[in-house]
Amino acid sequence: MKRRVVTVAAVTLVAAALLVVLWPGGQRAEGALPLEKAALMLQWEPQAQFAGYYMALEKGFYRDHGLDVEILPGGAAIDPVDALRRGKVDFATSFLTGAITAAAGGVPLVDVGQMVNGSSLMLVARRSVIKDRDDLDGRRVSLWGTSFRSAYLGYFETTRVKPKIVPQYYSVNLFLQRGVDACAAMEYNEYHTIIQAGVEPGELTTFSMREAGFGFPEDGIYALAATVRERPAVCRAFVAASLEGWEYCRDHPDEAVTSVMRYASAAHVPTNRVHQRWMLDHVIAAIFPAENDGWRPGVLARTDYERVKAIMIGEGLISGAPSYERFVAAPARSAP
Amino acid sequence: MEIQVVGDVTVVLLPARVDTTSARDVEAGLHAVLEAGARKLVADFGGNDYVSSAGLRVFLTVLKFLEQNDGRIVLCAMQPFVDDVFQISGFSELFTIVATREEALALFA
Amino acid sequence: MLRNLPIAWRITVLVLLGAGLVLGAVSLYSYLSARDFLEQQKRAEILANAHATANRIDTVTRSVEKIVRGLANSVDDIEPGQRRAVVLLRRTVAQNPELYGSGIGYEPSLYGRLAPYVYQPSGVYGTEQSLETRAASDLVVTDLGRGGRAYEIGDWFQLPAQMHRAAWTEPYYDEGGGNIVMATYAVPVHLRHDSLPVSAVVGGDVSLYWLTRLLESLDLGASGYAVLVSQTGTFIANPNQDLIMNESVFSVAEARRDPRLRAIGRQMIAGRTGYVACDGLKTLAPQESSWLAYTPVPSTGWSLGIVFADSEISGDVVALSRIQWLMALGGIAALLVVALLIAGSITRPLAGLDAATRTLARGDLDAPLPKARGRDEIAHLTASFGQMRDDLQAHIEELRVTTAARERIESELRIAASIQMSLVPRTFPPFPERDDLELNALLEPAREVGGDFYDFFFLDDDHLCLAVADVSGKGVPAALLMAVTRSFLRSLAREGGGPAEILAKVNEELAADNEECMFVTMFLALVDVRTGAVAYASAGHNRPFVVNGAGRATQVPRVRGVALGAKVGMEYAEGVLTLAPADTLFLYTDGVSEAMDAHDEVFGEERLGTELERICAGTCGDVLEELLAALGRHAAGVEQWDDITMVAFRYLGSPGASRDGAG
Repeated sequence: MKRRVVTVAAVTLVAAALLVVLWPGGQRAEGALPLEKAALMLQWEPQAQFAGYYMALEKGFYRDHGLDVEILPGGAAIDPVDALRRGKVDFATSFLTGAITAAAGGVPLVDVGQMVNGSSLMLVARRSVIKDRDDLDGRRVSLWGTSFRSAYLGYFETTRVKPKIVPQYYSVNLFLQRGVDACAAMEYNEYHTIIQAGVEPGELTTFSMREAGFGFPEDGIYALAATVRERPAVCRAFVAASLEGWEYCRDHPDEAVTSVMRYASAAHVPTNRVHQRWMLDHVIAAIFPAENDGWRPGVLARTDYERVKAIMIGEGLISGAPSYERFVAAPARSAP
Repeated sequence: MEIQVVGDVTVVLLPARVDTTSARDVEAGLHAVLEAGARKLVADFGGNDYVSSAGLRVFLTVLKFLEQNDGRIVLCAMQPFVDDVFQISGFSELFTIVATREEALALFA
Repeated sequence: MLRNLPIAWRITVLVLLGAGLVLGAVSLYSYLSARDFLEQQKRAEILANAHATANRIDTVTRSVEKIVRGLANSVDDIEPGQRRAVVLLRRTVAQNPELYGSGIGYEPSLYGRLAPYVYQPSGVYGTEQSLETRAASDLVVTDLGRGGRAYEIGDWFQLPAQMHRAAWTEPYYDEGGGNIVMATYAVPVHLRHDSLPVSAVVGGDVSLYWLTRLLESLDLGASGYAVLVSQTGTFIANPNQDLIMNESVFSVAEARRDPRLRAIGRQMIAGRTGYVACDGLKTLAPQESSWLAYTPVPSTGWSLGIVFADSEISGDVVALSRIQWLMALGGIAALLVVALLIAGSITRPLAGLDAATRTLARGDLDAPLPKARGRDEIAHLTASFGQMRDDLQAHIEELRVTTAARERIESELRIAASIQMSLVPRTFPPFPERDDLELNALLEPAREVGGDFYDFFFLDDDHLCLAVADVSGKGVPAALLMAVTRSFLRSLAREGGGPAEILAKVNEELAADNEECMFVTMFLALVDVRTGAVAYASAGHNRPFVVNGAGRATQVPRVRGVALGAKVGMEYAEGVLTLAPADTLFLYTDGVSEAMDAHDEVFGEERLGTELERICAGTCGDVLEELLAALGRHAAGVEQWDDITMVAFRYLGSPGASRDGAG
């Protein structure tokens, strides 16, 4: 029962950095200026959810923007926001609701780039017992911790169902072992994990938070307000390079998955390629808007922020939160 | 050729034709009878309708043998054509020719 | 095609074909049933193997379950506390080699985070570590909740805590113990002095390292291997390390886009037992077609699968049937030899006979025939053939003899014919200086010379001697007698005297010493050409015709006379007649009057007279030609048996003589 001690895979790019240094007339605008060090901590272990950052690093997009980036994977026992607050890293990825919760709790977080504007949150239920929304009433439903619950709670409130909430952590095994009738899931991750555990889609009833009107923006890149204030160029460069990384993933999904698999393997994260490809495809769709989607990659729309903040306050999860201008760095703000 | 013995007379019934081909058989048959000791011969031409010169010769040899051995041959029952042959050739002067077998046998009585 | 082969080969080919078909059918049937049998056998064997292995695993996991449940029973009456719990855990881990580690996690909301855990980093079940060394070795004691670590979020705690029942966790990597995969059996405990249904969870870890060892140690043949999947279908054990914990049956199915494999996976995690075709479970990509036998490990909900290649069964079948095939081939070879021997024994005499026949066909009748043995058809054929050969030899010999005889006869006939033809005058007109007579003669010899002859000669200027004769018998003797007769006639005629006297003299000569009794018929006429007076005699000869100038034919009157040579002392009568000028005297032999047609009808003297009257207007030569033609018509192809001899003498009258004497 030793918890998995996540070995922090120190991904260094010394060789690559040296190459750039020794390469006169590199693409870097700053020319001969030394690379600015920056550390990024992810919410979770290496997986396709973070493929854009890995690819930005691997393909030298960070370096091209004058950054020497180190990526630190997260995990069950690791809190990126805490690491950010304590100044251990310069950047951290976070779920919007999580970041708002932290900001409401006094952490001076600033969203420097909203990567994922689409929502993948869903409830997955066993069709044998739950066929529609109303069947959720009184059923055991497992949900992740507080900051992830907002959308679900809003959904339950709106739909007037009162499930019995059970804490959900990093696995869906409680659901698979029938300890609960429904569980929270990201469409790009847990849903597919359940499918990969031999459950047929037809045996499941799914409730998409996005379709229910509780589609919140998800992963964003956060920095401390001080960082944004003191190193605005670094923040801009980091977000720009990260977006380039995601674009690369969009255009080269196979290569991206291969890369992710390598990171996952190094971190002893049990996973498989099919799953990571599924995840990448869904995350890409949540980053780059389709025709009907109203967002811009990298931008957290004011309306979204205000909506999520209001819902969270309404749910009593937070009592208040910073203004849009304080929470979102200027380059990531939507047009007024 | 059929041979009948009536008392001490041997009657030879001649075949239908006594020509060059059959003359040998007739000659052999007759001489066999002669060698068997027959000396009184009747040649019955009742069943015969042709005698060639070869046939005549056969009878001539028999005649000669019998004349030298105290025998006698009588010819009988000749049909007209055969009789003509004997007449024309003059052999009718050499042989005793009678009309019927009974007459022939009577000559030996 | 087969027709062109020798019989022996044809028999052999057909026998082999038939036997081959039968053997082939038997072999095919035997192969199929053997394959079926072996498949059944293999299936039963593999399934039995799977059951046995699953049971071995189950024995261990059940043992772990029992230990952990026992531990839970001991724990439920002790106060939460580090020391006593650790003592209990140490003893349990030390005494049970199945356990990698064991711990107690208390519900944090009641007791704060407290989770004593004892484990043995090197204590992996299934290694050779003895219980003593295990007990003596260092057990590591730790607190999983140290520093506020949230052990309660782990499946091992959450599953029993939420489900209020014992549960096996999904296997997971233990990263501190050298990449050992482990699974935890966790039992919820209710401590009597609190209010929650679950106040603690007792867990026992089993390292799955031994599972890999166990599965590797199974004897599954060259291609066989075993896999173990968890309740979610994830590979716990697999010969391909990369798949362990990463892939599940379902992820492999998805990667292969193989819905059938997904269905199989569902059967496996549903705890079913089965035997199905699949494309291997060692790699993401489909491999060679294989068979998968799977059966559950009941306690944990895992499923054990044994995979082996289809080709292995085929290999076994091939190995099994190789003997059969070899035997079949041996049988066919033996059959070939036997068939060749039999066919040879049948056809060898035939071949010998064939060779002998060819020799025979070249005319060598003395060539030896193959010996016929036994009493079969070949022997009969050989015997018959020998008989035929002997008959042929005899026939040829006979033919040779008869041919020689015939040649002799033919030569005799030629001699006879040449004698005959050399003795008759054949120049016409014979007396061209004379205008008082016309004379012509014709001798048409039969194939076998009959001995006819004619003769004419002047005894003096005025007396012509005409003779026609027929010698009895045929051939050379007849020809010789004819020659003799002619000589006598010519010489005796010149001695003078009338025809009767001449014939009597000739008769005396011929009859003397005529042992053979041959005789000659003859018509002899002496013509006084001055007057036309004719004196004639006949020695048993046909009466000639006289055809007068008016064309009327009459036969000369009969005169007595016996054929010449028949008997000595004969006397001959003499007849006379007078020929008027233009009268024709026609002499002939019985070859004319007795010429036969196809129905043995003779030409006849009557018809001869009629014919003479019809044709007398012509010259003597013409008359003879016409008569010959008439005879030819009469015979109508029937072979001429006797010589045809005709003499026509036409008296033309003496220029100085009166014709008063005619009549």
